[in-house]
Amino acid sequence: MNRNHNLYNASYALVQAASFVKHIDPEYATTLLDKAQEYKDKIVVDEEIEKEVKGFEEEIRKGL
Amino acid sequence: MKKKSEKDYDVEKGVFGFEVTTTEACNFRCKYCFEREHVPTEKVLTASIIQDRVEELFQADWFKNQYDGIKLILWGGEPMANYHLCKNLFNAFMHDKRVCFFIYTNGSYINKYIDILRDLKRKSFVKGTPKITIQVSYDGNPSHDKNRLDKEGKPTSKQVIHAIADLDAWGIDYGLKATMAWRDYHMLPECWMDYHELQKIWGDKIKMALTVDYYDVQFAKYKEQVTQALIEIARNEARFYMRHKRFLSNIFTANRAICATGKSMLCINTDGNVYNCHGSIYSSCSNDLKYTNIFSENFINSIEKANKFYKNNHIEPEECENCIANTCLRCNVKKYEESDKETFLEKWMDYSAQDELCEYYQLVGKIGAAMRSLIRE
Repeated sequence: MNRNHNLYNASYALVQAASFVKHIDPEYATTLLDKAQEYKDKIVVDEEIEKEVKGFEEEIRKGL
Repeated sequence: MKKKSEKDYDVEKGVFGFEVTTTEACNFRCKYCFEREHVPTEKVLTASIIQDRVEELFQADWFKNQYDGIKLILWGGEPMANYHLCKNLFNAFMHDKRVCFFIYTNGSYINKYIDILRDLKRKSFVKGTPKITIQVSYDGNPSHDKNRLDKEGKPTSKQVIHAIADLDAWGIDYGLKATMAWRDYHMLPECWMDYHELQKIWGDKIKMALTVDYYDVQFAKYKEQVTQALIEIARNEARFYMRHKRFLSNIFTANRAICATGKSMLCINTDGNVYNCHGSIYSSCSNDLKYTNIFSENFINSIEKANKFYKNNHIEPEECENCIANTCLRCNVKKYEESDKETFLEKWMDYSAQDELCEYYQLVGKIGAAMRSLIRE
């Protein structure tokens, strides 16, 4: 199984876990979602997409 | 050993969503309502049959092993327009700690329920979460007043804002839901600002939960205006995050919606027919998705069978695994309608069946990734 696959599965599992946890511990659910996001952000996407993300970064920065 | 107190509950068990369509009639004529011209049918549902079925579920062994609570979800039309049924349901389960309520509403009937909502608010639910939660549809202006009109074609935002103010003043748990079509995305930044103003008044309870209208899809036509609107929202969210350590909207948050449809919920229409969720009622494939009737002798067995089927069968399409989208609305019913695949399950889980929606969520994913990268700097 490749690294992207593992990261995706881990992220997916945490989002699911958060949906249960939020009913009893909303703060910890947020922690789980943040961790899920962190894994998601580590997924290596192709160069073209990375270039697009960089382009958006510049555009957002201009108006900040 | 610690004695189990009344407040303790089994964290391994879940809450089952028991959704009831109290009416198909509505006093609003929202331009993007997916019920379209659906004609209200004769009302056959009573609080008594619902109470009986809820009790039967609680008595079933398979149910007891998985759930210790039921969320009675009121759906419409405008569910609160059926005052008689709503009131009887509230009274029927008022003191039942195993049952809580969730209401989808346009907010226009809230003040008719003030006394009973206040009573409900004081009651407890087994999970420790509120006994009643109300989701009010509010798109933010100027979009709300363009799209959410009453029967006479008049804008409705003032009465919705009054309803939100009432809920807040009464201490009722509530959330807001915004819907927006891509053709209206040029208004999204203003709508976000409108929510921001509400947040200043009512604090962190105000969150903008946005759903894109995924029935009328013409993304290619509106892609440029959608992109510009999202970039502006990303700036707003970045600034908001710096101050509040959270986002105001759900637009860029990590949540690939994994719909509970079928798995842990059922939905009953006004004829008593049972579906896996409310989207199924109005689907062009509704006959495929109906699986029993509330009056059927096999009601409990059918619910058990559906619950097992949807829980044990999950297919995650390969194309989703490396997708950049963080948020992705995964309406199984719509995927089922659109899919070219063969088996029921393949169609049900065909999350990439709507190309334009994938393109939209990927765009949101890219702009979200860019914004988070700036926040981290």
